[in-house]
Amino acid sequence: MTRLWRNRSVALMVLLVVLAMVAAACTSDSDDTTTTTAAAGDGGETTTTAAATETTEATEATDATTTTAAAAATGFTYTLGMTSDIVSNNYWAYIGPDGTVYMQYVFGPTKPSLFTIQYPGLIVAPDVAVGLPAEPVEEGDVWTITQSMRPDYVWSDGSPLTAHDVVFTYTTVRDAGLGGDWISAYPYTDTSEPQLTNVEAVDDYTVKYTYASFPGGAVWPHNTGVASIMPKAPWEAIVTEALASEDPGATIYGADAFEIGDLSGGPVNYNGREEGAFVENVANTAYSNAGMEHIFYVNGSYEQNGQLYFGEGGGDVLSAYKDGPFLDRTAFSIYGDQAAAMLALADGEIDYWINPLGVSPGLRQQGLEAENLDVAVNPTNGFRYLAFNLRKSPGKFLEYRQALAYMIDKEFLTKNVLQGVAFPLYVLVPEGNQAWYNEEFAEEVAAKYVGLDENTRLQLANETLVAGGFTWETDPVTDEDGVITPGVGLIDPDGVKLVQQEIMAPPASYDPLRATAALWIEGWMEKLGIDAKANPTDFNTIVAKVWPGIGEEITFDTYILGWSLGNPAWPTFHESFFHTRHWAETDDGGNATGYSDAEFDQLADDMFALKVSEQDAAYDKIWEMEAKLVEDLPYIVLFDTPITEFFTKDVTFPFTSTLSGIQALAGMQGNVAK
Amino acid sequence: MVRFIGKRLLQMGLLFIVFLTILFFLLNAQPGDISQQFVGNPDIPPEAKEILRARLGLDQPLFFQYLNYVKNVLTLNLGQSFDHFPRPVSEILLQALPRTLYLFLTATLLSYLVGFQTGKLVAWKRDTPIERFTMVGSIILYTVFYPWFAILMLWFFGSKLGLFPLGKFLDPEKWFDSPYTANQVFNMMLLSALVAAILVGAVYWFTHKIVEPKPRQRARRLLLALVAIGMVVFWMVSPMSQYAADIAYHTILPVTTLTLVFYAAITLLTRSSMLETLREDYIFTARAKGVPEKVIRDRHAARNALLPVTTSFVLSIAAVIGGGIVTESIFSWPGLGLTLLNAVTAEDIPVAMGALAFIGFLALVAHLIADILYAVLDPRIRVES
Repeated sequence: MTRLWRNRSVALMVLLVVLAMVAAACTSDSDDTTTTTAAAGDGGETTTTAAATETTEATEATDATTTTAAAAATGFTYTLGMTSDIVSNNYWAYIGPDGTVYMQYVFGPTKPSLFTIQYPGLIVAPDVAVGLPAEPVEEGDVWTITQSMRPDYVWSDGSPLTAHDVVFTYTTVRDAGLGGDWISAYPYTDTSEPQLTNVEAVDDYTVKYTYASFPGGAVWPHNTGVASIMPKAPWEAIVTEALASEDPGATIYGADAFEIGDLSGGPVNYNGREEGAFVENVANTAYSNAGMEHIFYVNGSYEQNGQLYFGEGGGDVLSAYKDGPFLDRTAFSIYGDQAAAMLALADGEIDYWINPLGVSPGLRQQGLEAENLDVAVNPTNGFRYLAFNLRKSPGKFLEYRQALAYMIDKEFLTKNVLQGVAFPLYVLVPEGNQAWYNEEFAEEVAAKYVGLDENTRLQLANETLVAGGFTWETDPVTDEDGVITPGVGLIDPDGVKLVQQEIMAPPASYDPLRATAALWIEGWMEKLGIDAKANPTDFNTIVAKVWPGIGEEITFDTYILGWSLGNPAWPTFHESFFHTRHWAETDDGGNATGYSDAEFDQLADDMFALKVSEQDAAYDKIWEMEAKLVEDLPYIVLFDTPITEFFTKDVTFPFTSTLSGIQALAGMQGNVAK
Repeated sequence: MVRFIGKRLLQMGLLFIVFLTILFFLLNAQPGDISQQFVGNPDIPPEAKEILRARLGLDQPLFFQYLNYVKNVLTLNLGQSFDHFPRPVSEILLQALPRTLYLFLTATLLSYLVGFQTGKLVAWKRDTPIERFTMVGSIILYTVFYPWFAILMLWFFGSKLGLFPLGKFLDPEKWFDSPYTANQVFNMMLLSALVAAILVGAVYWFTHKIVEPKPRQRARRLLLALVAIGMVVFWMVSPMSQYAADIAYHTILPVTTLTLVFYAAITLLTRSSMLETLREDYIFTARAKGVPEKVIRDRHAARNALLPVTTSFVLSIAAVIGGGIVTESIFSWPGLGLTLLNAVTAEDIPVAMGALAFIGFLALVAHLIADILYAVLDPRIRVES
């Protein structure tokens, strides 16, 4: 080996090979220019040159808070950094078992739906549909909805998008037994409530849905109405083949969508990838909503192409923008590590780091210090919470939960302990969901807890426990100055001394905020005379203990986890988390605490029976449910963190203040300008 | 020798079965399964979870799953990925393999070449400033916290100086309209390296028969130059050249980082092996006979010191296949290490098992090769066995 290395011929060979590589690298530059130009031509009719000067019309701002689409040069590559690759190029798989947030970034803007949730106002607005969602009509023992569709809406190859595409999507999902989000979008199973029993094309541009029972606003339009529509033409043969196979789902999920020529109905279309390196979308030059104008008013109204779809219009404008696409292509560049992604962003290698996970304080500081970067900080659509097990002592005693709610000083926890990286929450509806948030109510609830010193908290908690029939082995003592010495050995109203209470929380490596909160809660529980233990527990272990499966016993004491709350435009999570029918042991559903309250269940059912046109009534029901929950406390909502995102000053978004940030809108590929 | 190899093969087979069994039950001992991905989304009904579990066979008893798994592995079927359903596991592993091989083989070969030379030199120049400087440098590199060092290299050479790309193995802009996939280019690069290595080997094999040193050297140089020119011409005319060059450019920083760390270990190993050899009687004998110092160092001492280094090299080849999770993460190099990490995180048990089984199998093969090499290089082992 030594001799080999020392041999001049070998050294010469290595040198020549390196020189060949360098020569090839140098010649590749000129080739690249050619191929890039050719690609621009392939991508559509937009011509891409370095001197592209075409601009879109700038929208006038009428209010200080207005953000508008800036005058933008069309034809550019919008480069996003991502820390995970997509696992498939198949849209069926994305909505099905392979669905990840990274798939959503790539494929989310490629398929249309009858209606869409229009940001930042979170308004249901027509996409392929004409006008507002049609009302359900009772026909015998079923309910039907007949919805008109736009005749001018086309797929990326210019072919019309018709009712037959909608029917094809439903029948494929039903006949192939597709799972994942397809079930919530098209609830075809006989356990679905209500069950979508049929979808038919009345004519080319009218589609009729049949439900076995009344579809409330949560289902129509908020599930089926906003569900993705798949193009029939490229998929029909694959689906036919799949339905004849042993496992239709596997055949459909396994198809190479790029090879079969899947179409887009959104602003961009998938154009291939190099696994582990990048994913590419290109502009859909046939996009039917290109140039569409959106105006959101401060009073909550929404106008689309001059037509008012929500509210009464007028007044100050919150946000006004036009749909593109203004880009030629989107390149999702994949990094294996957050630090590398931030370095690339600061270096201008990427325009925007699309990231659902949030950034560590170190990287955040790095982003704030980079001169070429702008930052957007937004509330998220979720919360982190402490949950009790209401099936057993002491979690089943209301006063125990209330006492602990007094003890947990969320203001202190978020501001002092967590150094302001999180904000305290007192109700479940996130503050960022302005359309549904009840500020007055939330402040009223917070007023019960905010500003109390520790001694007062302890006093209130002890009084609550005593009122509930709790005692101590050694009672708390209040001295002449009113300072309380905590009691020892809490005994429940049944006379049983509390055993050690475990607080399961993800470890610091997974979420330092929840791990830290658990330690402080342990301390506050001990002040109530409870032997408590914060136990850093792997996320999967917590999930396995909290949702062990149907028929299994649920034995946890308390745990801390978080939720992302799904569709913010018609929140249904109260029902998912607290309705008796969703008990984890009977339904494997979201109700892991075992909370059961007839009045709450009725409110949730009432909410589900409301039509989308009855949003005011739905709002009232939600806050009646919230009132029950802040009293009964199956959860103590703790805090959440804002999402901090960085992007270069070269790119312009139509707005940056939006629930869950720019990433929730897949990086706004349809509107971004550069 | 045949009996020795046969015995080792048998042991290997049994060990592999035990390894697979432990692997299966260990990975399945993780709480929960992949259907838990739906837990975080309240909009997805429980039926979806059940459909997924049934489709992936997770509703079957564990022992039944185990039997299925062993049967599949023995028939070279690693199953379908849960996370990339219904993609075959073998396809995912084969996708990642060339990238890992290319990066880590390059770094390993370079570090052994440089490390062995350096170790030999510093052992020979004991108690000189060169030795002290090299030792301090090697110990620092050997003990440095690798993730920090890798990020530092990335920041300094990639971001601060802008000399190299910030990770990844290609520049997307250059590949948007490429007629080739990266793996086709990787495979071609590996193939051409293999062909070059075989040709170099052949040149040495055929020329060693020439007895006279000078004609032998001339013949070697001529033939090696022909091989080199052939390689250069091949890559100059290849339509893949610009893509290969892009990959090669992206390789420089991770390879340099890895080489610096690997090289330190090899230097230390070679040095201590050399120092031991230099105390042997035959070295004194050679000196007493008046053999030139350079010959003593290179032919008497270094060749004997090569034994543990060779073993370490063979074993490190198996580690190469496993790649480095940290390296691949930091340099955004999607090889086997990153595939394994993603599979474990996503509870994609088939891919995790497939990757580990593959690495385990290669580790066993590497051990076998090391044993055989040892037996070939050191006749005492053959005699004892």
